[in-house]
Amino acid sequence: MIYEYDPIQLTIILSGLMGLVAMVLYIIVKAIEPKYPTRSGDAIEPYIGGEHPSILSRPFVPEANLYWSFIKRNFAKAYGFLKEKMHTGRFSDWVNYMTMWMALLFLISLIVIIVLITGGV
Amino acid sequence: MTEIYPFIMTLLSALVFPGLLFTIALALFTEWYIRKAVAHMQSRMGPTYVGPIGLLQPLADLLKLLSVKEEMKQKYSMTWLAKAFGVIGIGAMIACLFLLPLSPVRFIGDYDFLIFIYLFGVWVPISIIAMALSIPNPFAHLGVSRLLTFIIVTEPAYFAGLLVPVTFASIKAEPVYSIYTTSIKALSLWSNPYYIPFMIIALIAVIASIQAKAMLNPFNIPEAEQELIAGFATEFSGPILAIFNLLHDIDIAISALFVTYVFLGGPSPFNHLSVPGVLLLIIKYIAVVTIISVIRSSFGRYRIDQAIHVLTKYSLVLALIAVIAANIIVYVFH
Repeated sequence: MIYEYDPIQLTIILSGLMGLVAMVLYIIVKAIEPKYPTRSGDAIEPYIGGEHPSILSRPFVPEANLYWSFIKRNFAKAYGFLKEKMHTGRFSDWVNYMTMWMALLFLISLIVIIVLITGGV
Repeated sequence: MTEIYPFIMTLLSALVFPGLLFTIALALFTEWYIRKAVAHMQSRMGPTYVGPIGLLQPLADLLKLLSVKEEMKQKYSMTWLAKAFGVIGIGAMIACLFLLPLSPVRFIGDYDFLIFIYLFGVWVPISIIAMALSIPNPFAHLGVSRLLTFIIVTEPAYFAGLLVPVTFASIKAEPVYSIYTTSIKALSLWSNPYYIPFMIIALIAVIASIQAKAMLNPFNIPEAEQELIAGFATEFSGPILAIFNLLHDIDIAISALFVTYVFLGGPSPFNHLSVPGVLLLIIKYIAVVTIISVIRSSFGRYRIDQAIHVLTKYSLVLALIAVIAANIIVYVFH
C-alpha cells in the first residue's frame, strides 16, 4: 500500500508513528524492568573515578572549549592564509586583490540582474 | 471494515514488520554479526554460548539488562527522562522505515528526504545527548562534548552523501527528492557513466561517516573507555543501559539499511516478494556491514583532532564535492 502525501502531512504522520512506537516500547520496558525497593537515605554519588567529591567544585576547563578550539583554530588558519596573501606590503598586490574582488562583485550583480530580468528561466 | 483496514495495517507495520519487532531483531543480528566478524579477524571466537553459534547472545544481554539488572539511582539523576528519550530515539528510527520500499505500508511524498533528515539526523542525536545529560556526571559531559564535536562533521557528510543518488534519481521522476524513488531507481544510476564517479565518492563518504556516527573504531572517541570510563554511558545501568545499547545497535542497522537501499537499490533488479530479491537484499546488507566491521577491526582509536581531520578530509569534503557536482550535472544536462 502506497500513500502519497505532501511533506507537512508526511511529517505529522511519521512523527505520530514515532510517538506511538516510543510509547509502546516505554510501556514494554516499564512492564518487564525489575522492581527493586527504592533506597532511601543512601543516594548514590556520581561516579568520578574514585576522586573526592570536592574536585567537582574546582574550576576546570569547560567542555565547550573542545568545540570552540576546533572552530577557532580553523578560522585562524583561514584568516592567516588571507592575511599572508593580501597584506604583502606591495601596492600592486593590493590593487590586484581589490580589482579581483570588485570584478567578482560585479559578476555576481550582473548574474543577479540577468536572472531577475529573465525571470529565472 | 474497509476504512479500518489501513489503520490496522499501519499499526502492524509500526509494531511488527518493518517496525519494532523486526528492527530489534535486525539490530541484534547486526550486533552479533559485527562482533563475530571482528572476533574472526582478530583470531578470537566471539559470542558462542547462547543459541547456535552464539546468535542469541545480544538478545540474552538485552534481556538480562532489561529484566534482571538493578537500575542504580544516582543522586542527581532523572532516570525516567533518560528512558523516555531513549525510546523516542528508537521510535524516530523506526518511523524512518516507512519511507523505504521495504515496508508493506509506504508513506511517500515530494522531499521526504528532508523528513528522513528530521527523524534520523535530529531526533537520534538529541535523544542520545538528552539520555546522557539526564544522569549528570563529569565523564558523561566530556563524552557529550566530544559527540557534539563529531556530529558537526558526520551528520552533514552522511546526508550530503545520500543526497547524491537522491538528486540523480529525481530527474524525470515523481515524487522528487524521495527515498522511495531513489530506492527504486538506485541500481540504474550505476549504469550511467557520468554518475558513477560521484556515486563512488559519495558512497566512500557515507561509509566513513557511518563509522563515526555509530562510534565504532577508529572513531569510538565519545565513549573511549581508557580515557573517559564509558563517556556519556558512564552512569547508565540496568534498563537504561539496555535501551541505550538497543538505540546504538538500531542506529548502525538503519544507517546500513539506508545505504543498502539508497545506493545499492535494495533487492532490485528483483522484487521484494521473490526469493532472489530477498537473498540479494540480505547479501547487499551483509556486504555493507562487513565493510564497517573490516574498518572497525583494522584501526586503533584516533585522537579527537585527528579524527575530525580525517573525517573532514575523507567524508565531509568528498560528500560536499559530490553533491555540488551532482547538482551541476543535473542542471547542465537536464
